[in-house]
Amino acid sequence: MTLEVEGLRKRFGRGAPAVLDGAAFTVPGGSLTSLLGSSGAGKSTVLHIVAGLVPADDGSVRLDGRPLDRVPAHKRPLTMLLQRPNLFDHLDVVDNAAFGLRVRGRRRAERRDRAHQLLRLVGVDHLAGRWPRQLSGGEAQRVALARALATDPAVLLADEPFASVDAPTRRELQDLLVRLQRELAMTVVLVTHDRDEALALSDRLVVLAGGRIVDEGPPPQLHRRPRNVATAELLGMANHWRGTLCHGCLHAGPRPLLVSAERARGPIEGPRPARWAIRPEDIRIGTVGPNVWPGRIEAQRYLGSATELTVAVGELTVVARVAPSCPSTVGETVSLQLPVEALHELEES
Amino acid sequence: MSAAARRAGRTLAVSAWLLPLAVLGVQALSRRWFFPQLLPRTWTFAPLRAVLTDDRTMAAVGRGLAVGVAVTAIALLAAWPAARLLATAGAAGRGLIFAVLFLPSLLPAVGLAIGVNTVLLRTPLSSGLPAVVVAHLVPTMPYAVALLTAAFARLDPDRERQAALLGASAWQRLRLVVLPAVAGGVAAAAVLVFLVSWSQYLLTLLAGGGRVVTVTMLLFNALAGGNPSSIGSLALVAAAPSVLALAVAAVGLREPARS
Repeated sequence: MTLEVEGLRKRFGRGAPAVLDGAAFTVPGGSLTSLLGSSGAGKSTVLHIVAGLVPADDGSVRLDGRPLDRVPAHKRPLTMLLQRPNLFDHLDVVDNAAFGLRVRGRRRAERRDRAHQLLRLVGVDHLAGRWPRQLSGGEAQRVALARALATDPAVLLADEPFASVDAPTRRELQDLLVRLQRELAMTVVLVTHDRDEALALSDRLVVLAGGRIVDEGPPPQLHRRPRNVATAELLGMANHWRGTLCHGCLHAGPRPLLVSAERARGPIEGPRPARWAIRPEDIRIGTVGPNVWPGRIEAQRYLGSATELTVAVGELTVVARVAPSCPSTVGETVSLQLPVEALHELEES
Repeated sequence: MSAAARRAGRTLAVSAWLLPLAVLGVQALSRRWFFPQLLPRTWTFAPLRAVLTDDRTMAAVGRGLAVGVAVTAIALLAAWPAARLLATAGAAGRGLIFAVLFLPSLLPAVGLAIGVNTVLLRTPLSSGLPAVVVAHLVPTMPYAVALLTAAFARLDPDRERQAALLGASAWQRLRLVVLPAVAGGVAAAAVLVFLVSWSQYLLTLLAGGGRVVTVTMLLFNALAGGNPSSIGSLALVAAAPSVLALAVAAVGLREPARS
């Protein structure tokens, strides 16, 4: 089912800043769409409005063209996984998984059968007789997923559901969600601030910043060519500089940078102000040729598969990600090569 | 705290609660029990049988139960929304509200009883059973509000939201999520409110205009009479609902509810 969100506006209290300022996007049926944004961007508020937990000041939510705005939360054909599993402490695992069926008036035997099926599907049927307090965080979130699926939701909303578990468990749960989404052809809206999670799981990304949707599209497209600073920063493109574009060169650092017309958002002859960006992993060290900036290593951070260097280039700071085998010392002078094909122009926000 | 220390503490608490009851039991079943005898020489069921078969006593028990149950129900119903609000609202003003609620408890019992009676005399509820019920609400409401507030403060609002997201209506959320979560607090509040109401003497005497006779009032009369066996028997009758209520609450809270 296709979920359409149109012009959502929300303030929490008179005079308070707008949390949502006309957010609008579409979630295609059967897709896993991630809402990506930094803390306070309004991601969870969007989800709470879609779920009916919070009323919008303005705007509307439609499911396959049918408006949901006047439908109370418990009557909406969707459900939501919250950050914590929120299992009911007084019910065992089976009764927790069967809760949605119980409130729909299904007979006890029927709902327990269905609960066992779903617990098997998420890999925790062996825990059926346990109580929530006897489960690990990952197990509890699997039970919460089974409980959500039991209601056969048209849309599954997930508000950072893997944020409170350790990294290996998070990976398992992410794989489980993707597998179930594919198998059941579910429409899923996932809220996350984790770019790796958003890139790995999503069919489609929607980027929220300042209460508005600033970018959307398939993950590879947004990763390769982010439209603006917000998307670039959220997707790890740490380097972006404002300068003057003139005769195919960007004047922003110690030396002009050659840029490609294909990656510009307007004519490159200029002169005009422009902001260009490059991913840290696209910068090369110690090479000669065009687009080379000299700099001094200010800091380095070992990341396992790479080393991240923070390099001072005049008044600019450039972040480069190099192989751990690449020799580098803090204080050392290096040459940074910024390949023409890796430089992209961003829209000014 | 170690298991042995916990066991010792529990034994001490139960002993401290049972010992006075045991002394009352012995006194109710003795004909004569004087110092320095450790136990009475003659045992008899006669005084207890007399109290239990006395119509006046049984009527007083019924009246006390009726008042206690009515006060408990009204106090819990009235305290419920107040406690929910206090538990979810910000801290500002909460201390003041509790202070106002508990203010009557700081007054001497006679002052409180006369004050309540003076107010009641100006209303249609000047005396009788309804007046006693209203009067008992004054000292019991603070306990109900305080205990329910504590219970609601432990209730995670996300659980209710989650239930709504799973399709539960407001009534289903109350029945299937909220009530099981706050059952302990409700039981504790109910027991305490009932016990405070059941043991009221001055408020019952003044608000009831002397016509609403409860077991507590019979006990006070018996104390003036000075027959230790009758006093012991009546005291046992007076303590019985409290013991029963505590036992039911303790057993009822042990097993979690199942679907």
